[in-house]
Parts: sequence; C-alpha cells; structure tokens
Amino acid sequence: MTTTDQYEEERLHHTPWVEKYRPKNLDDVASQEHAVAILKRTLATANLPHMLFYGPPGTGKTSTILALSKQLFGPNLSKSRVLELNASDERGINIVRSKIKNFARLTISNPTPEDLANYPCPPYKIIILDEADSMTNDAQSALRRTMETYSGMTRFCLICNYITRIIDPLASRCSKFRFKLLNNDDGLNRLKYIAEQEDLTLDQEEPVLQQVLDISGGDLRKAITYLQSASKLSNSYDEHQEISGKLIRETAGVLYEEIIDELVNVIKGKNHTQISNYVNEIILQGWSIQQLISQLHDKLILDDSIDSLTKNQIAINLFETDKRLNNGSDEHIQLLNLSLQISKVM
Amino acid sequence: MSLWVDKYRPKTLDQLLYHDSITQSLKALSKSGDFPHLLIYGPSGAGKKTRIYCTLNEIFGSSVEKLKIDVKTFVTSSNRKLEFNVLSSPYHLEITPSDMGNNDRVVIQDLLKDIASTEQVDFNNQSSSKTKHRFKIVIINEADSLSRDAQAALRRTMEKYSSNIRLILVCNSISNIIAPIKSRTLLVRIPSPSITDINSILSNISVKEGIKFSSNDLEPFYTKVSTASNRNLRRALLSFETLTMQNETIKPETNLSIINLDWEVIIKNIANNIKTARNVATLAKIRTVFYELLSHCIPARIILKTLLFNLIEIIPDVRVVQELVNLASVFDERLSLGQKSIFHLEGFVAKSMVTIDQYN
Amino acid sequence: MSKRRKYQPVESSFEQIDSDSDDSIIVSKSPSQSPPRPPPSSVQWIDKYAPISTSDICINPTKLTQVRNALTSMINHTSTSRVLVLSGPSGCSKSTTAKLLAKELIDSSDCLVEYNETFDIEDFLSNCRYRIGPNLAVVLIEELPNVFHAPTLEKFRNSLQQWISYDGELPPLVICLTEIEYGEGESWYNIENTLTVDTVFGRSLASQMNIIKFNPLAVRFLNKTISNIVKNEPVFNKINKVKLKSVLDQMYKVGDIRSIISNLQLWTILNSDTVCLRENQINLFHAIGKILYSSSEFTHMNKEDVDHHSIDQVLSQFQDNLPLVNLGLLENYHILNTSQFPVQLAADITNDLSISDIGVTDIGIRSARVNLRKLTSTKRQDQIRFPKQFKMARLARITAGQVRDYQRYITPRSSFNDLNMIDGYFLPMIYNRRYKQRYSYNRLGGKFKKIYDDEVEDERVDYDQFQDEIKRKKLEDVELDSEGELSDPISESDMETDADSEDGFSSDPELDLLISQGRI
Repeated sequence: MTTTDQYEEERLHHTPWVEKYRPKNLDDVASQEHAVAILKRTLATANLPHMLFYGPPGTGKTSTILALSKQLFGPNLSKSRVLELNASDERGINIVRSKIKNFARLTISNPTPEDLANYPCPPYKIIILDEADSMTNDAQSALRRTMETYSGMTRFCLICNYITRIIDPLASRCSKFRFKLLNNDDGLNRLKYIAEQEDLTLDQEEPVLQQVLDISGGDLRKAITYLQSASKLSNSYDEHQEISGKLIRETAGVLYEEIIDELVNVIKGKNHTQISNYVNEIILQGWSIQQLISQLHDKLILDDSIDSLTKNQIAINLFETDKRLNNGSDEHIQLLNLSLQISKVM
Repeated sequence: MSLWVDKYRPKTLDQLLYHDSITQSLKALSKSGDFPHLLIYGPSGAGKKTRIYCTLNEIFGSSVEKLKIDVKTFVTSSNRKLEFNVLSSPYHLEITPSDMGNNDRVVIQDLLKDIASTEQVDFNNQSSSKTKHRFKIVIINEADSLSRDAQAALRRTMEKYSSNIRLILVCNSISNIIAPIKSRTLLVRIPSPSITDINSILSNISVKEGIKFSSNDLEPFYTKVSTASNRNLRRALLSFETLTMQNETIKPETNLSIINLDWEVIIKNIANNIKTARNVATLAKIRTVFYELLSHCIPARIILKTLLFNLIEIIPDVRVVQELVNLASVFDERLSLGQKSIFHLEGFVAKSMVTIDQYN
Repeated sequence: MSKRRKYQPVESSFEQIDSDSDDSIIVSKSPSQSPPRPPPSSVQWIDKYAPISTSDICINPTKLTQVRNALTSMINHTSTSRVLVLSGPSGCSKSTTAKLLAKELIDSSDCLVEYNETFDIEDFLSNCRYRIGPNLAVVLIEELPNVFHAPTLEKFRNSLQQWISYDGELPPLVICLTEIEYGEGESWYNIENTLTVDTVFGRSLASQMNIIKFNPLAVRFLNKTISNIVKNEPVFNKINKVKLKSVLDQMYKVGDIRSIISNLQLWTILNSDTVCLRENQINLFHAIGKILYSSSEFTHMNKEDVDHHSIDQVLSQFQDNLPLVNLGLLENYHILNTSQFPVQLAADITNDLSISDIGVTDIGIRSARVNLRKLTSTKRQDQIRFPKQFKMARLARITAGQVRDYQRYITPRSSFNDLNMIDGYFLPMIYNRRYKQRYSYNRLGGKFKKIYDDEVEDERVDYDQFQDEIKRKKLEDVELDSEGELSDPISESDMETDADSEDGFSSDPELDLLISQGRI
C-alpha cells in the first residue's frame, strides 16, 4: 500500500459522520417538508432566487443547500460552480469581498454533455455563506452591492441561526426559508439508520438514541457527533463496550441527572454551608457550569411543584448567571451565588 | 535530588493511581490507532498534564520525556516582536497561548501549518519506520483562554490537518470553548482526586521515604493536608514535603499553618480586617495590600474569590453570606468587563463592609 | 518623548511660514554669522528677537551672574562640582543662558557640544572628556535620554557618576532640566509622576552637583524684552495701547518667554480679542483636588454650581484620560476628613468608580464629588498621592519575568500560575532545608512587599539562589547555542531591545499623558 493510499484511507476514517451521512438529495432532508417542497419546485424550473436559510443549529440548512446544488449541477460541475464560505472563518470585509468577487467574476464553466444529460445545470454559480449572522454589518453592506453586481450569473445562499442579525437590505433581497427544529421521530430515524450502518452496539436497557437526541436538544449534527465520539471510545476497548447513556453524557460533557437532583435537594435544604460544600464538590469534579445551568433550568422550570412566580424569579437568576458566565466570570462564585439566590426564593 | 512531586509523578498509564476508568479509556484510545483530538478539562492539580504525558508515553514510548524548549519569535502586524515558548519532544509540541496575547489565532495557525507541512515530508521519508502513528501531537494549554477567533481557526485546522496532527486541548473549564470545537474533540473530564486518593498517595510516599511520625494515627493528618490543598495534588505533595523538611519527626497534631500559602494568609488577614474594622481608613490600608498582591501577579479574580470564601467562613450569618456572594458575583463580572482590577476589588470590599454593618 | 521645544509657531494654521523658519536650530547665532534675514513679515519674532548676547537674555541679572560664576569656575577648574544643573519650568531661558554664556566664556566657534536623544549617553560623555585645553567646549545636555525607562535611567546616572569621579581634567558639563511637578511636597513623588532633580538624578548624585534653580520669569524682565519687540514692530502702531496692555498682562502670568512671544505675534496677526495662551493645564493633582474639595475658583456660586463647574473643568481637560483621574480618585478619596466618614459613602464612590472602569464614563468622577460634598469638614491629613497602579504594573512585570525565566530554564513543564502561587512559596522552604543553606533561596518572583509610592529607587535585590540557577542555565544554553552552527548575536540583542520596550511605558496612554503634560 502506498503512503498516499494510506492517507486516503485515514482521511476517510476520520471523516466525521456528519459529513458521511449528509443527505444526498432533497428527499433525504429530514423534517423540513415546507422548505424542501418549494426548493424542489425551483429545481424543476432551475430558476433559483437568492436564498436565506435560518433556523436553529443542526436542522439541515447546510445539508439542504449542498444537496440542492448537487442535484442542480451533479458532483463534477459542483466543484467549479459552488463556493462554500464560512463567514466566521475570515470575517473581514475585504476577505469576504475579494473571495466572493473573484469567484463571482469567473466565467461559468461549461458542463460536460454527460452532466447536461443528467442534471439541469443552470447557467449560474452558487455562493454559500455559512454563519452569515456572524458577519459584521460592514461586511454585510458590502455584500449587498456585490450581490447586485453579480446577480446575473450568481445566486447567493446565506445561512444563519438568527435572522435578526442579518441587515434588512440584505434579507429583503433573499427568499427566506425557515428551518424548524427537527421533530423527534425524524431525528430518531436518522440516528437509527446511522447506528445500523455503523454497526453500533447500544445498551439495550435504555433508549440510548432517544437520550442522545434529548441531550443534543434536537440538533441533529450534535447528536450524530456525540454518537460518533461515544462509539470511538467504546470501540477502542478490547472487548467492545456497549454504548450507554452514561458514556454519551460523558462524551457530551453533560452532567449526570443525579448531580442535578442532589443540587436541587441541597438548594431546597437552604443550609448555606451544605450548599457551599456541594457547589465546591461540583467544581472539583470539573463540570462545566454553563452546561449545569442549562440542565438546572430544564429541571426547575419543568418542576410542577414550583409555582410560576417562583419560577419567574429563578429564571431571572439563571439568566443573570448565564450572562455573567458568558462574560467570562468565575464559575465557582457564580454557581454559588445562583444556588444561594434560588434557595432564597424557593 | 528532585521534588517528590516530580519524583513520584507517574510516567506511564499503569502507574496512575486514581480515576481508573479514565485511565482505561486513555489506554484504549492510545492503542486503537485511531487517536482522536482530545479536550481534557478539570480543576488544576487534578492530574491532567500527568495523564497526557502518560498517554503520550503509551503511544510513542519514553522518548516523549526528553523535552527541549524553544523560544519562537513572532512579529505582529504592528511590528512588535512576541516571544513564546514551545516545549517539544520528537513526537509532540506543547504551547501556551496566553503567551501570545491577541495574536493567538495567527501564531497557532502558522505553527500548526508549519508542523503539518514538515511532518508530511518526514513521514514520506521514513515510511518504513516502526512507529505506527504518523501524527504529531500538539498540546495546547489553557485552551479556555484562546480568543474566539483562534478557536474558530483551530476548528478549521483540525479538519485540514487531521491526517498528521492530533490536538490535545487542556483547560480548567469547557464553558469558554466554542461548540464546534467541543463537537470535534473527545471530551475527557479529569475531576480532582478525592481526599482518600490523596491520603493514600501521601501515605505511600511516607513509607517509601521513611518519614518518622510521633503518632500512628495519620489519617486525620493526611486529611488536613489534602483539605488545605483544596484537593490539588501538586499542592498537597509540595506542602507535605515542606512539612517533612521542617522537623525530623512530624507531630501530626501540631499546627500546620506553614502549609497555608503566603498570599492566602495575606488575603485572610484582609478578611479579618474587614470583619473587625469597617471604616474608610481600613479601606485605604486594604487597597495597598491589594496592590501588593497584584504586583506579585496574583490574579485579581483569585484574590476576590479567596477573599469571599474567607469572609463567609468568619461571618456565618446566612443573610450576610447570601449578600456577600451576590456582591462577589457582581464584582467578579466587572473584573472581566473592566480594565483595572483595583476598582472592583475595592468596590467589593467597601460594599461588603456596608452589608456586614447592615446585619450587625 | 522628551523632544526639545522647537522655535516654531504654536499654531500650524499659521500660513506664511518660510521653509527656513521651520527650523529646529536654536539660537546660538553670533551676530557675524547670522544669515540674511527674510522679509520681516514672514520671520518668527522668536528668531528675530532671539538674544544675541547674555545681556539680552530675559532673565534676572543676579541669576545670570550666578550661572556665569559657576561656569567660569568650572572652566578654570576651581569649582568643587563637575556638573552644573539648571533646573526650572519650561521657557525660563535655561538653555539660552547656557549657550550664550558658553560663547561668551570660550573664545571659539566650536564652543558647545550638545547631546541629543539618539546618542548613547555613555559614549557621548566619554567622547566629551577630550573637549579640554585647546578644544575646550561646554558640554550641554538639554534633551534627556529616556529616563522613564528604568535601565536607561540607571545608565544615565552611572555615566554621570563616572563623569563626576573621573580622575582627570574635564570640560564643564551643563544639564538643563525642565522640571515637571504635579504637586507640592517632597515625600511622595517618583520619576513616574514628576521630573525633578531628585527623581532624575537620585539624591546621592544630586548632592554632588551644582544646582541652580530658575523660576518662571518675572514681569519686569519679560517686559523689557517685550517692550523692545513692541517698539520695533510697526504692527503695534495700529494697536490700542490699553488693549495691548491687558493682553500682555494676561500673557505675563505664564512666565514662559517662548510662549509669550509666539502668542503675541499670533495675536497681532489674528488681531482678535482672544489670546491663544499656552494653555495652563491643570495637572492631575489639581484635577483630583478639584474633585475632592471642589474648585475654589467658583466660590461665589451656590454649592451645586460649584460642583458642576469643578467637574466640567476636570472633564474638559481629562476627557481622554478619565481612567487616570479615576485611579487618582480611588487612591485619594479617603484622605478627606482624615478618613472619618461613613463607609456607605466610600462604598458609593468606589462602586461608581468600578462602574466607570467598565465603560469609559464620568460617573465615577461625578459620584465622588457629589458624595464627598456631603462631608461638612474637609480637614485633611495626607497629601494627594499618585496612584500606585503604575508602580504595581512595573513590579508585576518584574515578578512575571522572574517566574517566566524560572519556568523557561528550570521547570518548563510547570504552569506560570502554579509556579507563582504554589511552588514559589514551597520551594524555598524545601530547598533551604534540604541544602542546609538557609535563606539562600527567596520566594520565587520576589517577596511580598508593600508598595510605597514614594520609593524612588531602593529596590535592592537580595541574593537569591533561584536567580543564580537561572543565570547558570542561561549560560549553559548560550554555550550550547554557540557550539551549534548558528548562533546569532544580532537576534540576541534584538530580544533585549524588545524586552526594553516591554518595560518602558511607551504604550501606556496614561503615562503618555503625563509626559505630554509636562512637555507643554
């Protein structure tokens, strides 16, 4: 085996499942019937508007546009007709502008007769701007003009999580597609499919895949990644270990339910020494407090034994703590404060 | 003669004494031939670095212990020269991005690109070599202090060079690590060792070093040392060695005040001052002490935290505790947002005095 | 930084500047050499009326005599000191006096050697040693080397000390020091907040020098020079004498002859009622005083207006440097009423200062004034002090440097914080016992020390074995390097200069302000 082959093999081996199991065509895209239906129609006429895909992460935005361009151009032509740019990669105005301009200016490559026979091959190029909401306003305004200048032979597809972060003039030039959170069954089916393909040994005692989906909060990309990490860890043992809920949680950095339960208990106990001690223990265990807060939120807000006024106050405290953590403050102090504040209102 | 903390540092995974399941995982991973990028996190003194080096040893053999240090220079866009240390063995490199300030993105990108391109050549030349791993490990310390820019760049780099570079990111908390990195690395959490874990390590060393004690009931003594070290193994070992150095025979029941760190004692005194003399003159005095601590590179955040925990220890009133912790959380955030920490430290102290007065 | 004040128009909008008047050469033209004067309208009065001989200098004659005697005795080697320092505020004719006296006392066209910032001070001084006998010249240091940079300052002092203790004949050395003081009193300043004889030279060096202090120029000497200009410039014929007098009275207050002449010329050209005087900057200490006690200028107003105006005055001057004022307030708010006031007030002030630090706002300054107004008595014990922030930052750099070195050369696997906070404390105790060499290891990064703001020097480092080990390892490394094929001495020295700029405050906006303040 030559070195290059070996590399190729290793590269394949390292391909994230997220890439490996990307939908190959629009029909494979899970859960987004509405968007898919419209896009299919444009496929028929091969007339594409500028597009803006928005919605929570892991709902299939990138997959959809990639599948669409494959169906438009076929695998060969895609290479010269589609530019995928990650806006957060290099977000300066100049880079965005020059990269896009250079690509947009290129003359349209000619499809081979073979491609023409199998694919619509419309006479334009597609520029995909992933994470467009992380572009600065300046870069976005610059983009607006670029879009107009090259609209003759270029279609843009902006992808973002928050449509409010796209400036109006830009948004108004695009047809908007909202991608909704994956419904549970679709997500579960996709995970099942992957588990079968990869021949995973799952713990039969518990609904592992459902847990994976729960932990990732409907983000299919996350779910697939967690599954891959867990399988990697379990595979490396000599005697293949089953993939269990606990293993998934550990690879996802999610706290065990028992810890959250115990914390709530201690908080309810209102003894500040105990609270302080347990908080210290959690810190020494190395858990991510941001993660803890989101789990604590789910726990307390769904707890029917707490009245809504209390929940209200708890929510404010959670919000405040989350904000402070985002500002880079100390996890120990913030968690202690949060626990004491909640114990005060409960 | 080396320090115990070095002398008794495990060199291989088999020598590791606690967190067995993690050790198992690391062992399995290093054997598997499909070594992923790792994100290793946990409190300081939990043994993150020790475990990493043990894992490297498992993969590449003991030559990873042969470290050399290089000083690389980097010229920023504003033409300032930056220096940072690169610690390396034939199989790995180790960097600490906080040395690089705001330029971490460029520096790391350049460095990794460099390694990736030279390694490629090396592998081609030594295709017959026995080493089955054709990648080099890059350890990035304090990964949580990487700018978001640098993290975003790392994410790309991880994919680009995945054939010949494996990253091991090390940090205390993953809260500041961006999601794409978390999803591209295998998370390994290393909790602090338990009191029992530390106690048994200390007692092992006592036996090996032939330490003399005046009594036989040592467990409470070890526990004191472990607790005072806040379960930081490095600190526990250093303080234990210091204690044994002071006397031929250790009297476990004696005062162990020597194991309290100098700066911690200073902060404790501040707390006592706040409790006993809540007035403006004290504020001015404490300010000078803060400057003293800051001038010794004790991070403001640690000063604030240590002060808070000292205060709530000596003022047990639950209402006061609640208020003080709340104040600390406010001023702690300001430490992040602001420029000069002295304002926030003194602000916290002044407000604390008022709070204590209120409930007195 | 310490750019010599150039004889240039104050306002750049001044249109009829000839290229040759835009020249940085100062005075020292003898009448015979003076170049043909350009048409009167385009020449700067400051050049046109530059004193030609010592008798023209706008200075108290007794001061002139004093300097002349000092210089003469140095030339004749009858003087007890080898360095003459002329100190005083800017624009009081210090350097003009030195230069014209040199010409008067030494009969040679090459009677003056001037230092400039780009020279290495050590080389400069050792070269100047030979300017004796037939080559006799006055050695003048008007521009100082970068004294804000500790190693440069030390070098400067050492060179001066060598000069003083040199065993042999030396030419007279004159140093003109434009003093910048931010307040009164002697016990609290250091080189970072004031430039004075003591902070620049240190007390021991200063005691070996002959120091002559210049004061701001008195009105009657100023008047002599200015009247001469008024007499000779036709433009004044058209100007109302009463108006002129009122303008001049205003200008004389500054006591800076350069500033007065420039402004007078500008005034005649603009012919407006406003006078662009050298702005009488309120310095940091006054600014803090105005916030702490409110300004005394506005006593006729009611309390709130006084506060309002005091704050505005400070804000208008320190708009770009509120953090410095805030630091100053934090350092000093407690001196009011000898600290006898409720903690609640202090909490409010510090809390608002803390908020100010998050975004640049004036809330801290306003809060300090409004809260301190509540105090009835403003009795004070302490003087206003300079914030310790800069001293702290400098010491922190030293500590960080020591710990980094230890990390780099001795224990590369340890983290900085571990070394500084844990190992740094335990290691000396372990090693000192183990090797039975008590106290030869110090705490890593230096002992914890109170920071006194009035320390000028005295950071004597105790013997420390850690530093010794680092040095040894450094040497080994260098040897290893030189055995290898590539040892690059240039990069070595490059590294040093880089470290220097780290240490200097060149990039600190607050220090920049202090410096620029002093140089106006």
